[in-house]
Amino acid sequence: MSDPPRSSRPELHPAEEIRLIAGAKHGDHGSFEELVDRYMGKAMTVARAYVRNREDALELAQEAFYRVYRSLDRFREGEAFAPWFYRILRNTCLNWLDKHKKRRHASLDAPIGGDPDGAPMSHADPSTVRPERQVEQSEEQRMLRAALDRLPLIHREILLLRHFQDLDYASIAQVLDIPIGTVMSRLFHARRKLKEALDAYMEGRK
Amino acid sequence: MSEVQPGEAPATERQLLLTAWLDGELDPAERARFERMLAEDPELAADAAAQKELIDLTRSLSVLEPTEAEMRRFWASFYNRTEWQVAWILLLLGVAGLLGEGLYLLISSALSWTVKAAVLSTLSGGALLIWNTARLKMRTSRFDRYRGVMR
Repeated sequence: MSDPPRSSRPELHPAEEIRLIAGAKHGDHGSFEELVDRYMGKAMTVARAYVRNREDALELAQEAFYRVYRSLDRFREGEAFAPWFYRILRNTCLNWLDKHKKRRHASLDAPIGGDPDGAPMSHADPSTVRPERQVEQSEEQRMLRAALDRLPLIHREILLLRHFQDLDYASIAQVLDIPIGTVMSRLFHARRKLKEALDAYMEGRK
Repeated sequence: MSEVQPGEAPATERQLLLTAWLDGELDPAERARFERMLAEDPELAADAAAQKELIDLTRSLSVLEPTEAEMRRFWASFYNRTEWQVAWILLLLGVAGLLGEGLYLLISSALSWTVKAAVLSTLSGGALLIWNTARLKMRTSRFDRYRGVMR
């Protein structure tokens, strides 16, 4: 694909997010578009954990935003947007997997975060990174993606929600519909599994 | 699904505390108690350092980003889809009203029952065909990854 990826969008300040959601709820298309713009990359990355390729991840992220748009009147102002949104996205992805009968296999062969089909990713500006560091970073990303690929789906999703989306335990519990104690133990097992998968690589870095 | 896979030991309280500490989820009293444990136990401190390194590494995962063209296509289809749904609702309401009134006029008219039956059969067949085609299109096009491809 020759079309370049958009550059990464900066994190939304909570007050700004509340303002955008309130605007979107009252029919301001600009606010909704800004909200989509800020969340689209993250949504695609999370969706990528569930499905096999970037194109489906894009489609599912878009479908989730469409569902958000239709349900905005049911969203209670003052609540956090991210857990509500990721719950909709997760349900969209799980429905898709059920429909395509892939849920059983998702833990075995769904690569995440990366781009095996040659699709664009956002990266640090190459001009500011030394070539040898670029190689190291690319190798790190490859190893990390390969290690994550080997984890079961329940571990991949919780690691992404915690490490990548930075959701707290209460929000993760809300997204996954599990108790906070289960969030903690699932994170522990997910990290242990990831560490095992990465051990050889981590040793090599020392 | 069980958190513990076959052959795995369940997490101990200390391991769960370490997990919560790494995520900043302990209250101040619990955190102070755990940090005293860390200071007194080199093995626990080494485990904490290794897990911290792991977390930092996973945080470096690249974000997928759509291209500008993909976003333009998304917004075009997004508003089309909204308008398309409103249009369908209006159309169906209109058709339902016209059909109801038409059926009433047809049944109460002086036409023979053969003609009435033929008109009803034609309308039912047409409606069934439209429904069948629309359902097939909805089921196949939603996740057709090639639908934006120029042929």
